[in-house]
Amino acid sequence: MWKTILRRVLIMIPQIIILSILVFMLAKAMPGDPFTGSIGPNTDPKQIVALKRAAGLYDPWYQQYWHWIVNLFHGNLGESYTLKQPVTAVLGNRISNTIWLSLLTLIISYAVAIPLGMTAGRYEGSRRDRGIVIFNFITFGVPTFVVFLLGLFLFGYQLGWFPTTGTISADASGFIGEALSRLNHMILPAILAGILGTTSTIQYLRSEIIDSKSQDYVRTARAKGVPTNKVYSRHIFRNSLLPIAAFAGFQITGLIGGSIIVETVFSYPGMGQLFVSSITSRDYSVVTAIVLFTGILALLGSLLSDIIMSIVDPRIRIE
Amino acid sequence: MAEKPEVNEAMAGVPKTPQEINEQDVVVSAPSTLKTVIREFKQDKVATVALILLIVLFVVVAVWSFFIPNSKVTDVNIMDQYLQMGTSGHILGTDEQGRDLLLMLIASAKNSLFIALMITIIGQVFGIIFGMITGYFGGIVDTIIMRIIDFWTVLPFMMIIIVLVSIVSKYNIWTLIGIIGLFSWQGTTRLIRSKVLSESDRDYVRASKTSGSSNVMIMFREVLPNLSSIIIVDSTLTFAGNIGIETTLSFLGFGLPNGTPSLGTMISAATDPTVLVSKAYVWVPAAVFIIVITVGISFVGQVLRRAFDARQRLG
Repeated sequence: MWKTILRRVLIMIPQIIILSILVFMLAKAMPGDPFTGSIGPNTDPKQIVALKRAAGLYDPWYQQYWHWIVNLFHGNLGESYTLKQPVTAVLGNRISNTIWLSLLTLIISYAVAIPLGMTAGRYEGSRRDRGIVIFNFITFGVPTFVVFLLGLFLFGYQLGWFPTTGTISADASGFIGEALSRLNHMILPAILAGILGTTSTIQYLRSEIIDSKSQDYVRTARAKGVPTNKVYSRHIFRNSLLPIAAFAGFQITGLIGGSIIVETVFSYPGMGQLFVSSITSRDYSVVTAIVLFTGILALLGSLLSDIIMSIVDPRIRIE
Repeated sequence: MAEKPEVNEAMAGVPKTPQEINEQDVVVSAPSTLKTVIREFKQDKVATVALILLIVLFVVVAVWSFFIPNSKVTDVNIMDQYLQMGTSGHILGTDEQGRDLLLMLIASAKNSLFIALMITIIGQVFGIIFGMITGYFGGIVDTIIMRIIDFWTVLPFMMIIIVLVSIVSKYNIWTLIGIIGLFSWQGTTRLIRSKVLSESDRDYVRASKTSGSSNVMIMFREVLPNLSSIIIVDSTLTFAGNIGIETTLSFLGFGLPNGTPSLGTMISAATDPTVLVSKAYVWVPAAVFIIVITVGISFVGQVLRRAFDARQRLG
């Protein structure tokens, strides 16, 4: 097992290098440079050129790339063109907002998907199963932003159950008050995104349970006289749940990638919203940092999933 | 069996021994693919309704969009701004620029569907070619392509598409299709690869190899037809997904260029809270249209999947 994990971690290294080159190339292709914002009508063009030369912008690309990487390891992601602040400072707050929202979404998604998947698998072909499968087609097909907008329109504005923008109300005070206010702002986007994120879990759990039903260990349990409910809740459920846990890594990366849409619709100040506003204001140092960060997070997510898989499923280990 | 009398005695109670069965009775012809599909649709009323609705919508959009002059979707007429539904001949009302929303809906739907179709074709063509090559040859080619795919799938594709859209210099429909197409082949490649892996071990492939057929011949003339049902199902489902990707990008403002209406751009009017709340007629029809189309296609796709996979059939 350790061999598999080690091999998987080693594969990750070239992946991160390729990702960084890709992001670096994108960053180079973006118009503008760190001095674009500081050019005024009275700036001497020669001075700009000198500044650019001092910053190494005329060096060959591999030197610039190396320079960029070294800076990266020192936590220096450059300065935001428009906000005139270090990118790390701009990002910090936004990242934690996005992570909280994604966590809540993930919890809601599993809380909805696991019971539905279990029911559909257990009562395969029944009316309930048909209903759940149809629900699954709908969440699979429909673009998320349409559902978010309709949800915001209905529950946020028409019914007024939830706040419609931001992360916290201005009048929230005290630790508990602030925490509740934050939760209140996250709950509608998290519920909608959570429900839309159930598709693969339900689908997987359902077919996993249908497969397990005819396995030997289930027949043995039944022959021993284990009550049906217990067979499902103990024997089948545990076996089906492990692969689901392994997919958690991919789920997280999906959620963080999808944060662009949720956060734009709900005006939630997270990383995704910052990404869209930075693209619009052509603040490319922030854009580069977000793409790199999300990419690394995604690679870590898939690493996590693969490691859990190799622990759970001995068949994919290498000896 | 006939030589063993005790067996015959034991079978005396069975009404028909194998010898007595009339030759014509046992001929069972497998139902044609079309018949299976029709039968599967008959079993699933929701999907049948979805299919009929989709056909009607597609035909209406395809035919009507031909008769909409371009000026109707580009001209600005401030005097008619935000007319309610049904006022002065505008059945669905007008938008911020005073354009008729029904005509906009048809023109937008045509663009969105066309782009999704193009992306699906690109994704399928490259997915099939790469999937065929990796699955058929295996070995080092397979390892390399699969490593690339593992990496490509994990990338935050939405962000990269948006970055590419914002830095590409000559931006039009075709560059948008190309950029989204970059991220539309990996799923299909995986699917085709896994099927080709199991096909290329079959006797017919071995026989063909022994008789000297070229690899290309075996791959595309012999293996490919056996994958047609999977390809049909996969393209239906990815088509629905691609509609989602294009409309999402247009909604965020990184999709179709100005002057080319998209369902996503129509809905993006709702990012303004006053439009979202008090002028719902501007964006709700487009939102409903997208939901009907994408959910409908995924219903039809699932029925096709069941029809082609005997284990999942309902009828």
